[in-house]
Amino acid sequence: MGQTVYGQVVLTLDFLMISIELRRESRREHLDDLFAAYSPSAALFPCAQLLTVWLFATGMTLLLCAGFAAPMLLDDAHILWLRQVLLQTVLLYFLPCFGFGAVGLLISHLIPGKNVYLAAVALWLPTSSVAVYFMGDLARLFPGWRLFSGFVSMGLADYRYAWNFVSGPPIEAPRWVVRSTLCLLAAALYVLCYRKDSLSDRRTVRHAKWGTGAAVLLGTAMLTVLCVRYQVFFTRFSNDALTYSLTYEKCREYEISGERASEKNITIQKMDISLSCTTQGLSADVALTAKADSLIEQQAFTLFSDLTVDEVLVNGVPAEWERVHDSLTVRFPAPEAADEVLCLTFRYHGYGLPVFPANETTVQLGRTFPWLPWPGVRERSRTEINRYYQNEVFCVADWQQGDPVVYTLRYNGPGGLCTNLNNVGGGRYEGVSTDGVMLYSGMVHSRHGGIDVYVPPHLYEESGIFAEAVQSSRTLILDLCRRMDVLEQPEEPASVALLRAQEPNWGGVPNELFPRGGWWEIHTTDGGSLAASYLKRAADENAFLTSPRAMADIAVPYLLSPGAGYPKDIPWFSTRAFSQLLRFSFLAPEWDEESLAYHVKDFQEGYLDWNEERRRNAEEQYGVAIPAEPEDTARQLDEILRQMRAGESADLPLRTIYQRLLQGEAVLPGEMIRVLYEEMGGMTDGH
Amino acid sequence: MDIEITGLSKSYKKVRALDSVELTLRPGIHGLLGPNGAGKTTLMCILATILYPDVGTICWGDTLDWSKPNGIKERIGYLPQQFGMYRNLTVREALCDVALFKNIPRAEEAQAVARALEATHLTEFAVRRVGQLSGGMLRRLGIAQAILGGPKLLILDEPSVGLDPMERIQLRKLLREASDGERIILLSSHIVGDIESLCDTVTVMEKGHVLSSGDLAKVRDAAAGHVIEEFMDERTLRETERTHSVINFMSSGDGFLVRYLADDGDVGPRAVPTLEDSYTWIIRRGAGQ
Repeated sequence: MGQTVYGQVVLTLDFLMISIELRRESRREHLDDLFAAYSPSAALFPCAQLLTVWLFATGMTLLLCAGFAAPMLLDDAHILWLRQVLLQTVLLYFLPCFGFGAVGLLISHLIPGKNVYLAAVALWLPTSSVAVYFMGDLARLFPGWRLFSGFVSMGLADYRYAWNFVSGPPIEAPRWVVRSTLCLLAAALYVLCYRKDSLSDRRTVRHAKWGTGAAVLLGTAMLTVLCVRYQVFFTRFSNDALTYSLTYEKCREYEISGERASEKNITIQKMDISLSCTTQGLSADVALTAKADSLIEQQAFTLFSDLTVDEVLVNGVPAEWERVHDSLTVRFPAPEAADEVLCLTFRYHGYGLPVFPANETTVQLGRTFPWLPWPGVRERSRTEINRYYQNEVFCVADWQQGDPVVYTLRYNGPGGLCTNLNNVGGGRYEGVSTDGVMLYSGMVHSRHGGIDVYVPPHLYEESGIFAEAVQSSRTLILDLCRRMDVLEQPEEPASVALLRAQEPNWGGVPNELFPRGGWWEIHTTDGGSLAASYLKRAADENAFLTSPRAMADIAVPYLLSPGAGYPKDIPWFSTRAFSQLLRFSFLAPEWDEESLAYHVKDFQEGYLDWNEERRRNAEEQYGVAIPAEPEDTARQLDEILRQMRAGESADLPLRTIYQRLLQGEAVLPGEMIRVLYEEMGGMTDGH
Repeated sequence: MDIEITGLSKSYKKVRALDSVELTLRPGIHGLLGPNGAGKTTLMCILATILYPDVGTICWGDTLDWSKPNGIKERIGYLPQQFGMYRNLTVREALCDVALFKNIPRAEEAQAVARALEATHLTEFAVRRVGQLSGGMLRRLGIAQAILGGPKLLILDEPSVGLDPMERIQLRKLLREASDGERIILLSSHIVGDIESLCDTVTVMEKGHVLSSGDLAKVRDAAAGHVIEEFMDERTLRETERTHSVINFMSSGDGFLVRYLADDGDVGPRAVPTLEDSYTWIIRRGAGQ
C-alpha cells in the first residue's frame, strides 16, 4: 500500500473517532437539553456539529492541497496536473474524512452507549483502505460484495491511487458522485434523527418520523439508482485488487493454445467508426468498406469477447453471425465474388478489459486490444498467463497490421485524446493507418526535436527527455539488432506516447518500448521510464550509448519481447534464459568474484535445476522433453561467465541461439550453455 | 405576569407523568416538591419548551402561550438537573456560546455575560476552563447561563444536587439575589430546607398530580394539629415507627425526641409544623386518597 492509503487509514479513523467524541462529549446529553430550550431550531445543534467536522476536514484538506501545490508551483507544473492533484486531494481526503465524520455523529446518536466504538470499527473496517487485505477473498466468496465494497468504500478504492495518483485518469466522476451522496446522506440522516429525537410532541414527532422515513427511502432509492448506473465502474474499474482478479479470470480464457481459426479473406479499405465512451462502457458503430480477396461466403472477425454485438449488416442487409470467445463469424447473405467491394456494418457495446478501459473517465484502447472488428481470428498466446502481467495476452499478435486503412472516427468520450489519427475538429479524427486505431485519453501534447510527445499532465515538463530517450534507445536497439542479425528494426520515432500500462516482462527485465512504425509507446506503471532515467543519469548521450547497463536493461528486453515483434510462442524458460545470458554478456565485465558466483548460482537455480514437477509441467504445456542436465553444466556456465568477464565476445554463439529462437525453436537453457561453451570454450582451449 | 397552567397532561407510553395539572406561577420563587417520579422534571421540561404536553395549555399573560414556543424561548433561562458544558471552554466562552443560542444581540453579549458573571460571583473565574471548576462553581455557571440575558422565567431543576453545605448556602443567596420581583423562578428540589428557606410559593406533586399549591405559609400549615413531638425511649420509638409516620428523631439523654404525624384520636403535645412535616403529611394523605 502506498502513502495515500496509509494516510487515509489514519485520517478516516481519526475523523470517525473525533466525531464520536464530539457527540459523546461528557455531559453532552444535558447540552442537548440546554440547546433545545434556547434554540428555535432543533436542527441547529447537529448542524453546528457537522459544521465542526466539515471545518476540520476542510482545514486538513487545505493543508494537504498547499503541501501538494507548493512544490508543483515551484516546478511550473502543468495546470492540468495541478488541477488533477487538487481535485484528487478533495476526493481522497476531504470526502472520506467528512463522510466518516458524519457517519460517526450518526452512529453515536443512534447507539448512545460505549458499543458505538464497536459499531464504528465494524463499519470502518470494510469501507476503509484497510479492507484491501481481505476484499479480494470476500469478493470471491460473495459475488455481490465486489459492487458493495466498491460502492460504499470511502478509502478502499483508493488503493488504486497509491500509484495511480500521478499517472492515472484525472477524476472519476462516479466516485465523486457516490462519495458526495454518501456524505450528504449521512449528514442529512444525522440531522433528521437528531431532530426527530429532540421533539416530544406526538404529532410533531409523527411528522418527523415520517420525514426521516421518507428521507431514508429517498436516500436508498438514490443509492440504488447510482448503484445500477455505476455498477460497471465499481465492479470493473474502481479497484486494483478487484480489477486484477477480474482480469486474471478473463485472461485464463486465453491460456488455451490456439491456432489461427480463420484466415483473413478480405482487404479493408476504409473504416468509419462512431465511438461513444460513457459510464456504461463503449458503444460503437463501425462501417467497414472492404474488398473480397476471393469468393467468400463468410468471414471471421476478431472482436473482444466481452463486447456484445447488437447488429451486423452486409451491404445494408442484416446478416447472421456467430460468436465464440473473441471470434465473430459473419455469414454473408449472398456469396461475395473476388474483388467485390463489401460494406459491413457492426454495432456493438460493452466493456473493455479493466486494463483497457473505455468509459466516461478513461479511454485506453491500445492497438493490441481488439476493440475494432478485424478480419481473421488472431492467434492466441502460448504463454502461461498467470506468470505474466495482465495485458500481455494482447501483446502477442500484430493482428491489425497489414492493410492501409482510411479511418474516420467520430468520438464522444473523455478529452485530451492521444491517437494515431489526425484531429480535424468537432470530435472527428481522420487518418490512414496500417496498425488500427489507438486511443488514450487524458494526455498532453508537446513537440520536441520534431517528435510529437504525448504524456500525462504530470510529466509535461519531462516530455523532452522521453523523446530523447526513445531516440537514444533506438540507437542501442539498432546496435543489438546488428549484433544479433535481426532484420526487423524499429523506425525513426515520429511520435512518442507515454502510457500507463504494465510493461510485459518476457525477457526477465520489463520491456517498456513498443514501436509501430514511427509511433513509439513507452509503457509504464508509475510514470517513470527506465530509458529516460538512464539518460538523465548519464553524463551525456555518448555515455548512455556506451553504457552496458543501458544495453542490458533496455535493448535486451526489447529484443526478447513478443510485444515488440520478436520470438513468439517460445517457452518462458527459453526466452528468459537467453535474455539472462545476453545481459550477462554486457554486464559481466563489471562483476567481481562474488557477483559472478551469485549469477552462476542464480541461473542454475532458475533455469538448470529441473525438479519433477517443473519438468512435467513444461512437457505437458510445451511438449518439450527436458533432459537431465549433465553435472558439469554449472561449471561450463562458470567458465562462460568468466570469459565474458574477461571481455571475450559472445556475440556469435548468442546470435546463433537467437536465430534458432526466432525460428520458433524452444532451445533449452542447458543447450544454450553448451552452445556458448563450445564456441567460447573452444576459443579458450585454443589460447 | 402570571403563568397559568391548565389541564396539563403528559404521558410516556403507558406512564402518565402529568395528569391534568392546574397551577398558577406568580413572580417570585416557586418551589416544586415531590418524590421521585412525581412529574416535577417533566413539568419543568415542558415549561422549558423541551417537551410538549399531550393536552393542556400554558399561558403567560395575554400574549404568550406554549403552543408557540419560539416566543417563550426568548424569555426563559433553564438549568437542567445535571448541567454540563464543553470542558475545554473557559467560563466566559461557555457563556458566550449560550448567548449565541439565546440569540442575544452581539452588541449586548459582552455586557450580558459580565452581568451574569458578576451575579453569580464568577468574574474572577471567567478565564478558568469549565473542566477545572468545582461542583459548586459549575452549578453557579449553570445559573449564570440560565440568568444570561435577564429571562423572565427561570427554571432550575434540582440546582443544589451534589453541593456541600457551604455551597448550598451560597446558592440560596444567589437565587435570592436573582429574584427581582418580576421574574418567576421555578425551583425543584428534594431538599425541603432549600425550598423552605427560599420560596414564596410551593407546589407539592405526586404521581403527576398537584396535591397542594399556594403560599409557603399555607402549605407549611397544612399539617397544623397533626404533628406530635414527644420524648420516648428506644423501644417506644420502634413501636411508633411501625404505627406512625416518624418525620424526625433526635437522640437526647436516655431517649429520643421524636416528631411524628398523629392519627385521629392520638393524644400528645402538638407541635408547630414545619414544611417538612406538612410535605410528609400531604404526601401521606395523597397516598391514602
